[in-house]
Amino acid sequence: MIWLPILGLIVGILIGLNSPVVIPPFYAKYMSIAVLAALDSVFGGLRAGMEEHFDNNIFISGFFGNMLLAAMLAYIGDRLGVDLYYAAVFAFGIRLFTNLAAIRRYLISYFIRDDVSSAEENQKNEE
Amino acid sequence: MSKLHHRHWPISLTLICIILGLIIALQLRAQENLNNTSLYKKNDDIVKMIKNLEGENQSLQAGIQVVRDQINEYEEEATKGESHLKILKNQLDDLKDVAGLTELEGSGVIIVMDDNKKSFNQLGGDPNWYIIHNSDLLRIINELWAYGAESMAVNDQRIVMMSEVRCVGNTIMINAERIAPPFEIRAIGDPERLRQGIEGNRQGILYELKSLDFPIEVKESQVVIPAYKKSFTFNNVEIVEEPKQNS
Repeated sequence: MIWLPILGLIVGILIGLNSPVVIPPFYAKYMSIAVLAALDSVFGGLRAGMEEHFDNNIFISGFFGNMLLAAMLAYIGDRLGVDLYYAAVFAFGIRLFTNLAAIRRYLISYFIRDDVSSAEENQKNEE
Repeated sequence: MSKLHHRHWPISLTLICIILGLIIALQLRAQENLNNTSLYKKNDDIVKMIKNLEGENQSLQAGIQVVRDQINEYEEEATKGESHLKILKNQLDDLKDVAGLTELEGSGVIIVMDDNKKSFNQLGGDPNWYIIHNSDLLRIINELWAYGAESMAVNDQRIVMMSEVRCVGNTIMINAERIAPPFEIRAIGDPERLRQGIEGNRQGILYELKSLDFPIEVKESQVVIPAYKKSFTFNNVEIVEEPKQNS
């Protein structure tokens, strides 16, 4: 089952690389922060799925909401002369690593200790 | 409700992953575009273009040399044994020497000069004060002609009637070739007259540069002047059969 999302990722990348759409250079900066937010959401969803408290509505709304919010905040920050861009990079970066760490711990406990519940004890719900 | 979502989480994750892959790829391409249009990239392209054109230039020059050798051969062959043509051939050879199409040898002077790096390191200031400019080279060339030079070359570029000495950015171009310091100016002529003239003239450029501590060396010697490697192009001149001016 884990192969399906990876396949989807590859399909998406292939579509993106072959599509004629080009993002104007002006928006590339905001797009990059949106990508970071999206990555964070996906890893959050993956983690929630592994911890078996995945909620479709939260996942999808979080994915699009975070993406738009991050890009918009960065844009507004640029207009106002406040570097909110870095705040978003910082926040999403930390969350991304936290999610990755949780996934790692889950995988370790799943494959080695064969004891999921103990790994879940010190995790809290993400999206 | 929640149980249902549990079972379907890989499917929505897959859909979202497709979108994620899409925007990652788009962002990748946008970033690539950004890097491609940067100033550095443009500069790189221009440098590459110049290198290519210079290479092309070199091969075309080689082509000119081949054609000139061929012409020489035909001339030799055509004038073989025919005395009236021999005279014309000799005249042609003399004119080629004058035009700068042949390598020449003779006694003369060699002037070697370089940018004034020592003073720049000691005193600082505007680097323009310490480098040799195209105008300096032009004045030296001019003075050498005035003191009876018969033929001249700067860094292996033969100075002919069409030679330009111009400043292009931070290099000097002669005969459309980039020239870099140290400059070696070779001139054929009466060695003593040339040396004394160029060194002794108190209004001369060499005196000026030397007083500013530029490293300059002038020596009398046997010199070899290379041939002009480019072609002469005449697109607009017409030869006047009967001179009108003096009539």
